[in-house]
Amino acid sequence: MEAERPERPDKIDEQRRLYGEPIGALVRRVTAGLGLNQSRVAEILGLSPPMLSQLVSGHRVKIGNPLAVSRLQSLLGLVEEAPTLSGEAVQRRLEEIRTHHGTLSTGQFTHVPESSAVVRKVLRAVASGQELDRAAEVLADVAPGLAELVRVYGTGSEAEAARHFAAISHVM
Amino acid sequence: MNPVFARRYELLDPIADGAMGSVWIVRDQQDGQVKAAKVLRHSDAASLLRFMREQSTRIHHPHVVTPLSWSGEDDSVLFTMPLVRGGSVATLIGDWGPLPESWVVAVLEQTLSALEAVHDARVVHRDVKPANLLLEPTGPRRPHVRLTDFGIAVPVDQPRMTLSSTTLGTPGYMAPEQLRGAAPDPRQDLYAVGAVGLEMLLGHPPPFEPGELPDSPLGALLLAATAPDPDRRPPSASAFLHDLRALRAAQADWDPGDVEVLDQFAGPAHRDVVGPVPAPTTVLQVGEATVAKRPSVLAVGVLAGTGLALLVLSAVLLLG
Repeated sequence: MEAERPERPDKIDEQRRLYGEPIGALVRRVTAGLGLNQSRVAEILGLSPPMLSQLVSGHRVKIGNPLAVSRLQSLLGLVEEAPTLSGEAVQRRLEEIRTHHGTLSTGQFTHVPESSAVVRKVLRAVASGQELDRAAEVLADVAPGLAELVRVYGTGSEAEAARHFAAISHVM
Repeated sequence: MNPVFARRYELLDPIADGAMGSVWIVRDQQDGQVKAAKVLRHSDAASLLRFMREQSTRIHHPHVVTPLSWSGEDDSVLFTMPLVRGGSVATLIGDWGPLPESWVVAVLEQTLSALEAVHDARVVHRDVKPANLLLEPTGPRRPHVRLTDFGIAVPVDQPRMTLSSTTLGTPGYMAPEQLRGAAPDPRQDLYAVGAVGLEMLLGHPPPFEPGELPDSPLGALLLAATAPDPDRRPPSASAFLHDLRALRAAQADWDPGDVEVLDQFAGPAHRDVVGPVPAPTTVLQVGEATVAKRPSVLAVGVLAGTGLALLVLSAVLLLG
């Protein structure tokens, strides 16, 4: 119902001020440039279909979720880049954009986290510091390398983890 | 023409696809009503067992989605549920990003009130997450949560029905001991509630960095709920709820900020299928009434027994 109301000039102007262009125009550039329909674009942005539809029609002015704004910027970047990429590479980028949860600094899509930080996160997501400590102790006899890894990434500082990672990167 | 399941349920539109089956909008030709239905196709014995247990877990509570009825056809089964039109808490976070504390407290209060009833029935849900907290389309008014998907819920003190060693649940919301395959414990659901609350506040899914955790009474409560050691979490859903209500007392009257719950089925794609938006006032009354009322719980054990009987029946049908 709401989605089909005519576009509202004052709200469209407000969108132009916020995003450079009306959201409808931006989304149409993405759908045409990447061959996606609007509900797929909503899915990648992380917005619900009725929300995107209200934004496109100008019924609603502002994108509430800041992550959706940065994902939209990334999609527009991908539209520019797409002609030089294989279809498979485009699909991969779409998936990256969809699952991107970091904040954006300056309209640039950069999110490759340090691998050592990822290892730390994984360990700390599944066990407490105390458990990791104990696990390192138990492992010390059987697999000292592994014990060190659990200790450094599990309970050590970020810098320690980064150093360890750099030290073994040549064998990976 | 849409396909009709078991000569009764017209399959209208798929709305979700999961590991444990897909969810469809269906029209029940017996009463003409549009409902949601979980459909399991080409089911093996283990998933059928889980399916029957899920449809027989009927906890009657204003914040729980209760299965209505089930049907089988060849090697496929389906059970129906009321259709909840406002999407889920995952939809809400996607549309709005980080949510105001008022929304976090309201959603968690209702979730915990649902879990009180679930745990009273000696069941652990084991898959509490934003996508399983459905919302009525209440717009900017106080939300109305309905906990759904009892697909991997288990009775606390019954022998396990499956002997598989697979850990079931969703990474990020699963308590560490659940991840390690510990026996079901209601406090695993409380961990998940804490993770949901943090996700609502921060606007992104777990894991959460220590530095980004909000320095507020609510933040502290959620941090305690997500303690790796279950003994450091609130001891029960009731205790957690009590702490949250103390926080709400400090808040002003309902203030939605910019946030509202949209009707996910109002667009042109769904409107013809689902029909017009129902009058929203009825929903609000239910929501307001629940705050003070004690949940009424149906004896799940009895129903689980019925479920087993039905299961044997369907197994016979399948083999035959």
